[in-house]
Amino acid sequence: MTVRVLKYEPDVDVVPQAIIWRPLRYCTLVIREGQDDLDRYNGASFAIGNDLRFDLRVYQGHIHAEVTVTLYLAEDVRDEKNVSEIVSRVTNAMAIPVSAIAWRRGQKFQFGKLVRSPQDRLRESEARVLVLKIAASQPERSATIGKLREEIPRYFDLSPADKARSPSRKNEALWQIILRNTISSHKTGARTIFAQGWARKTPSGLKVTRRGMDYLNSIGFLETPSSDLSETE
Amino acid sequence: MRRVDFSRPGGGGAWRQGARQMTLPGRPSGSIAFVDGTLRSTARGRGVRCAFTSVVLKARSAARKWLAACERDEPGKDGTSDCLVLTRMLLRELDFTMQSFDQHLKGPVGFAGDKEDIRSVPEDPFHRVENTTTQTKSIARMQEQSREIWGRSARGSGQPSVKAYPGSLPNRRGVEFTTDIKPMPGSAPNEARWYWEWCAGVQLRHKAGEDFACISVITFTNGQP
Repeated sequence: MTVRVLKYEPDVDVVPQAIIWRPLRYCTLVIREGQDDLDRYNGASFAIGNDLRFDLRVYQGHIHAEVTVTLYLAEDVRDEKNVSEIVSRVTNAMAIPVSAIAWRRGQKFQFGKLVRSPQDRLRESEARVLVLKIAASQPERSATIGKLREEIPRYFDLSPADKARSPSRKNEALWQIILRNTISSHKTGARTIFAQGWARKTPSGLKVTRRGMDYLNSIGFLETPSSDLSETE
Repeated sequence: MRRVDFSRPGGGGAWRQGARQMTLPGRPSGSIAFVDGTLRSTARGRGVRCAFTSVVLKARSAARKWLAACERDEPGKDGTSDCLVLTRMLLRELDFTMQSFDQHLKGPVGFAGDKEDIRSVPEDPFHRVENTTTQTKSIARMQEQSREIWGRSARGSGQPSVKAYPGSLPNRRGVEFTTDIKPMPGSAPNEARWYWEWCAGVQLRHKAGEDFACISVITFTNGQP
């Protein structure tokens, strides 16, 4: 399932159907500003196949606006079961873990209250895509380990569990160990970003390949035509 | 206890301000009341479906006539302004009840005699922030005077709605209000919406050929003077 970034806003009313505990920049870099009857917002429109269109938006007055994004669907999508399936389809296609969903239609809620899942923390599977996203947003699509360490808190709201000290390396937090493992060249396996051809090692970090950029395009993070990159990259 | 008689301009109910209750005589009988911010409607008599419809229609008719008569006079002259606010609230509920009666019948009121329909009323505030089109300074003034908040249809939609953030007005210019109308469905923890037809008590207004959803407010603070 490929997520396409749409240039135009939806021409129908959209309704909030889920809140994801991730900043908008974590989900996409193709962000535009908009305004409606409620307020000003930053957001993006997407499509999956020919049948599913959705928006991700952050309104200025949303609670936890810095670390959450709200998923909107057209107002005629009302059936809760259908909404739930669409939310799962979207998060799956955008490589967003289920634990990041702080609320979805059908769940009871209290206005102004949003609780993050206690299970939601940075795991290696998510960190692989995250480092790829961060590196792709840097000049030359490259990032050093230092840069990744600096940027991760801007893309991912580190939970207390992430910030806890590592039992094995007392001077590092758990998320830093996760990062280290993610880009370690010693790490083998078919799922690493290097094995999948999404990135290659550089002396100080990593560089995203053309294949990696294609992958990021396919999850809606970027909108960079592959033809902009040379075959060798 | 102060008693305001609905039957003065016509109709057959009585509004007891202290109890915030309107009782309806005759058969079938029943009552509509606000108790601790909750609207309770009770129908008694032959066949609850029939009784409930009659009670609601009677109450609505009585309340409308009474309200019209009061508004023709000087509101507040007899110390009736509180009663006017409550009557407007009551009318909104009754209008909704009739609009969605089919749905209502499926609820507890439709099938069991002498049961009560209790809907809780949100007490927490909501706010809207200033913008240059739909929440201007002059609109805030109109909202303050009318005690109503209007919302138009979103682009491409035929369903007008009022949109607001939950919670108190933060450090931004805007308005803060409370309402007894539940902002469901289509709402989320970070966003409240009141759709006309889909939300109990939301009314339809027309202005310059355009439809607006309208909610009445109980308290209102203008933070964009």
